Amino acid sequence: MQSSLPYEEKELLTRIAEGDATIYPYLHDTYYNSLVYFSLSIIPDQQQAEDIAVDSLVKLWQLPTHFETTGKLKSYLFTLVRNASLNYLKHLRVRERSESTLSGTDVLVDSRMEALIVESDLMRLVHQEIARLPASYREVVELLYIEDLSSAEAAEKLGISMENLRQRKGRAIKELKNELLRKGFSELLLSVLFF
Amino acid sequence: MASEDFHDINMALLDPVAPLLHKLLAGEPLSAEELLLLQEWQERSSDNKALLDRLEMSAAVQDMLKKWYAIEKNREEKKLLGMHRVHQLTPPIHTRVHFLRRRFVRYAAAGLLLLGTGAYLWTLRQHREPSLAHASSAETIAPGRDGAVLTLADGSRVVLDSMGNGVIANQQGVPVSLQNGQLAYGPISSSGEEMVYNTISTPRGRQFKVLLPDGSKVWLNAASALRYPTAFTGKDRRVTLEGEAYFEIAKNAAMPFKVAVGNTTEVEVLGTSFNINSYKNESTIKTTLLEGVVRLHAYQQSQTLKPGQQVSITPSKEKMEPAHEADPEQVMAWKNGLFKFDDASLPEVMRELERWYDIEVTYAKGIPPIRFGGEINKQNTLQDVLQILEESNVHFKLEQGRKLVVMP
Repeated sequence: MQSSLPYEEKELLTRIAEGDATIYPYLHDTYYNSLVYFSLSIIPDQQQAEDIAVDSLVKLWQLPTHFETTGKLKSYLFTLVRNASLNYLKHLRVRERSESTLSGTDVLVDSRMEALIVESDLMRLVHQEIARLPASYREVVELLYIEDLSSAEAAEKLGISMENLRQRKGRAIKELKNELLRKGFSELLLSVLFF
Repeated sequence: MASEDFHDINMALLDPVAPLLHKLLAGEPLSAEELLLLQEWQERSSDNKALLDRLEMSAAVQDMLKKWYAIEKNREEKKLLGMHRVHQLTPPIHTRVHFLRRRFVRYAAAGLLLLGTGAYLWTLRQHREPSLAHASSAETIAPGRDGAVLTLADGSRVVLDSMGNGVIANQQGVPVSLQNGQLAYGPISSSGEEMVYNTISTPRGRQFKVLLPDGSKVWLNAASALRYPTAFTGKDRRVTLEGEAYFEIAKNAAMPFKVAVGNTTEVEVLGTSFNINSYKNESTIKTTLLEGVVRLHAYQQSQTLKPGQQVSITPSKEKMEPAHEADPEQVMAWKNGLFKFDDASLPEVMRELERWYDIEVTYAKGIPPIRFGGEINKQNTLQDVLQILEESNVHFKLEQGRKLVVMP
């Protein structure tokens, strides 16, 4: 279950400063995915990126801080994740003694970081758009577009006929406002139909 | 990390960018001001320009989304981990809610039915009820369990609540017995008797299983009633349902099984298992077929269902919708000891809680537009369930007399 209503900014920041445990779920739902996404652009291991994201959020309770704006909070969290991810890379490199594979990535310029924050914000919006589709269409989009199943596999997984799947695909495309996603999805459907 | 290399990124400058890109992708028109803002953003760095280029390639976007979904998959699990760690860091006053999640682990299957021993009269609980009004509002509200009231042909009532096994009544030569919390009817000892009807009803907070005289099984959800003859004679087997029940009908081609729902709907069964949800405070009557074949009759129309299909009937509009695919797991969740929500509105969730926890729900300031998805074990106390729901930023106040107020 994902939180949908924002806390009032001021109340949120006060509660962080007070070390109020009950806001963790809200903060997690708001920032966790973006932080992992960001970390994964620095390090290759998703499990490690997940741990780094949780560590960074929990840090707000280890070092209660009063942020003036949610923007400052966000930039603090992303900075923590960046530093932890780069640190992890260094450890990895020492352990593996292979400098060649990872050189260059341990410097992350601010502009790259900013672009990644925008990218993860955008993914959140597109994901929300898919999540708002009625369940039967959403499943079709997710199986074909995200999980790369064939039409036959998707129909079997959903326990529906190929005809039914085709109908749902058509309706899902109509429902999806997102031009780009719609284009990608239609191309995919086309290739499936021709196959 | 010894020292935090703290960068103060100007989020005020970044935050508007993603919504604008999203708008652009959705083909919505941008204002001149918005276009200018995007233009400036794009020119600020080669990284920004590169991102914009990648957004024009559907394969690249697909990869980005896949990455996001892979992260989303573990979000809930990692949230529990984070909550646990935060609770350990905060002083006891915050840990009063403790880490309840461990108990929310779903039970593999039923496990709910046929529990408990010893006699416990539901009526006793009712007598005790008024004193609850004086209890503190922090009282724990326990989940529902097995129990029902059997109304015999002569109108007398027997309270069945996890009581002992044995014959509890005799209806015109048909012994009625209770076995492990399940009601069963014996075979007819003399034929040609006139039909004798019994009604089994569950109050809120109880569910019950009945074995009908023909061997069919019926699981009755809370706040529901089933009326049936103690022996099936004649050309069909007819029962009447209010509320929700799951049926597993014994095959008998010569004697179709018919469930009347309300005054308008009849479900004709040909050896099969299916679920009917016909609560009066839900807007539609939903019939879902799990196995076999059923035929629905309503408003001079009829429709045959295939396994996995569901048909909704809306009495207020005197309308029967065409069959559509349903999620059997969601439909059968109640029988398997779970609440399962898929994009459910808050009132939908609350009506289920009212029936299972025997509470009255009111809304202090309108109905928050939140939608829920996920599973919750029905064996949790009400407080545990509310705590899970509160993670979605909806708040509750439990008042005396089992009244629950939804706060904004």
